[in-house]
Amino acid sequence: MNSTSYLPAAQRLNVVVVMLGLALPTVFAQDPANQGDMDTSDLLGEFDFGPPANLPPSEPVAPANPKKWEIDGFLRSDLSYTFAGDAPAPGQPDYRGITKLRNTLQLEVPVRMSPKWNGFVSGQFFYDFAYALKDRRNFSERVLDLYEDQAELREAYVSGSPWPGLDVKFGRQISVWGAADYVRVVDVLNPLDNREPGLVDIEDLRLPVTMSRIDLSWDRWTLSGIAVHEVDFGRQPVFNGQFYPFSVAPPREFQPSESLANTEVAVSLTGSLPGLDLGLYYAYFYDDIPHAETVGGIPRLDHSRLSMTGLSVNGVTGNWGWKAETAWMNGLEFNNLPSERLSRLDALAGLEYSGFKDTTVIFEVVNRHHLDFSPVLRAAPDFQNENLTQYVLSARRTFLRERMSLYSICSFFGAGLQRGSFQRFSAEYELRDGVALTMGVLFFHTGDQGGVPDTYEDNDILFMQAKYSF
Amino acid sequence: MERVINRDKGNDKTSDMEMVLIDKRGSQRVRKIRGFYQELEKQRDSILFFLAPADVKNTAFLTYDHKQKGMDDEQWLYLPALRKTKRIAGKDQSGSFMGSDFNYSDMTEPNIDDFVYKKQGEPVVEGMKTWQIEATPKNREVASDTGYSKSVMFVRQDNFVPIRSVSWVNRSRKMKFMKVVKLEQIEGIWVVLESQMATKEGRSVVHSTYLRNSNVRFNQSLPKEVFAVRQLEKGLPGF
Repeated sequence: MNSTSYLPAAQRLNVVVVMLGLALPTVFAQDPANQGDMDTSDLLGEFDFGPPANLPPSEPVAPANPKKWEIDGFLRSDLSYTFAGDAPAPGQPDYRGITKLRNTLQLEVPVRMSPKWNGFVSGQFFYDFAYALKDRRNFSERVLDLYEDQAELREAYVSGSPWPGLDVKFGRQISVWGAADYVRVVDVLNPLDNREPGLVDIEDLRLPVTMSRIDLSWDRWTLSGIAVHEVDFGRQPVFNGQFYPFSVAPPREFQPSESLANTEVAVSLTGSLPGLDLGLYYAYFYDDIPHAETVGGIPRLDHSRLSMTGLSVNGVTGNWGWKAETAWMNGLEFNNLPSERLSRLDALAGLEYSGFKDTTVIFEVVNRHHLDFSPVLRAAPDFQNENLTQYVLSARRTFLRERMSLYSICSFFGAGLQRGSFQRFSAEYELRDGVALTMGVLFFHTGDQGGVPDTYEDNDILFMQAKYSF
Repeated sequence: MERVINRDKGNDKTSDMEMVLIDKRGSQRVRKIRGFYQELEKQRDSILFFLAPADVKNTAFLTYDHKQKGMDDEQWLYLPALRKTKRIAGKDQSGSFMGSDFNYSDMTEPNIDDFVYKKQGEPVVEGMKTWQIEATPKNREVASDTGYSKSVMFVRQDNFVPIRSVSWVNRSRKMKFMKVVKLEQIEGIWVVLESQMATKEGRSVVHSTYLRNSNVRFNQSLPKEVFAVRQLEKGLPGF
């Protein structure tokens, strides 16, 4: 594996240029003289404008008798072009050039059942023409199943407030814990769509699962109880896929049945206090990341049952936001220590600064520390390190009255930044209400074991997206 | 100025807001918001639900505007794409509200102690006697926070409603001109139903925003749950 003990120059340059580009125009903004004193008639004479002739007629913002249901959603076209790859070995799929030419339709139907009860159903459908373009026979059935097309139910739930202070929600839903924006510490309830690391739209990242949720609120506090009935470990890249991290196929993955015994449970107590948000969390759940094990001499992948006890806190002071999360994970299993269950302590700290005009900068750092770590865990197939540190730095700036956004996110792995990184830079422009165009580039840099996989080294991608929301 | 800020605005209010953003080429973008407001002894609460355009639908914004000196306002933003409520820094009131010509500072009550006020005259505007009042930030921090280095308001003497204002944009050559287009009394309370804010550079309008308020109702004894952080995720109240 590659070993770099410092951040390569190319990565440093990428980060510095983009961050300066976002912040400098504000930092060095001129302070021109104001127009000086104007007398009353001059001032009043400046009100020589009026509404445009083609001002749309006033329509009810929210009708007095709203419809019981409506259809919302979006239509999205995505194009990806992988430009850094070498020619594949004979018989291997070619992931150079156009690697995504996907049209996605998402339909969302909110339903107003009564003043206290609502329903919501959403579904997503896509077809990716890139595989037909490259000849489908070059790709395995598993790759085509995962990437070529999809028709799935997303969220489907009923929610209501039977009594003041009591909220319930049953069905396929997403529940987000914690204050972190980019790194998950206490946010363990929903699995993720990791099929295309760095490329998945943020709204598609968390996958809904069937849950029953009860929230009891009083003052500024909310006590939540959640039962997760659906066992779903998310979407991961498959063997021979563009983002599969290993050179060999995985063993069979054991899938627990959906039963009462396999239900995941979670409890949280959150408070929005003056100047501070606080959360205490407990969950008993399946680890979405499988571990290798050998059962009866046969290797397989299994998912540990973990317990997580966590805390998150965040606040703001002036233009600064700060956040901290910690989680103690218990019950981790590994192939090389089959009779033991280990614990891990994850800790995150983050800052957010919005003092530059129309700009937000976020920095998060997380360390995941295995307690009672044994050196045998470094070896295959576990490939674990005692500590895994990740840094994330992002910046977003809007222009043209929020018509245009420039966005960068850079993530680095390893305390000394030695385990690789990825950087994503994108620009979004709002052509008109509900229609947006996005262009960007995604770079991967590999490093020591435990960060960005070696197989990602030749996966730098140009991407474009057109999206119509309705 | 105290009478301007403290004029009757009801104990609570619901209203719908439509903003039409017009650039210098005449291209228009429309924002629709339903807002809930309440006035408490120690704070003013507001919660806004964005209904249009489609890509920001269900975004919600909650503010606790603390009256106590030295206590920062609290703000939370719900981002439906992330299913996540986030506490946000409330200091930068100089930013544009949803891309419009109104700053966040224009959408909230000013802190009267942050400005020096000077009466400049009593001109007649649209047939109504007004006071012409200049407001200057007491220090650079206030100017930076609000986004304006100076403002001049024309306040109607009969009802204490500012019907024209001119603001000098901080660290810029631009000026903003606000005029009230339609003003009515609803339930005994004066309400600006239509207004326009234009940003000018020299004599040219570079951008303007037409703001319409409708469906305005006061004193409905809104439940306190409407202004809880939980409501952001729950969405538009169904009562």
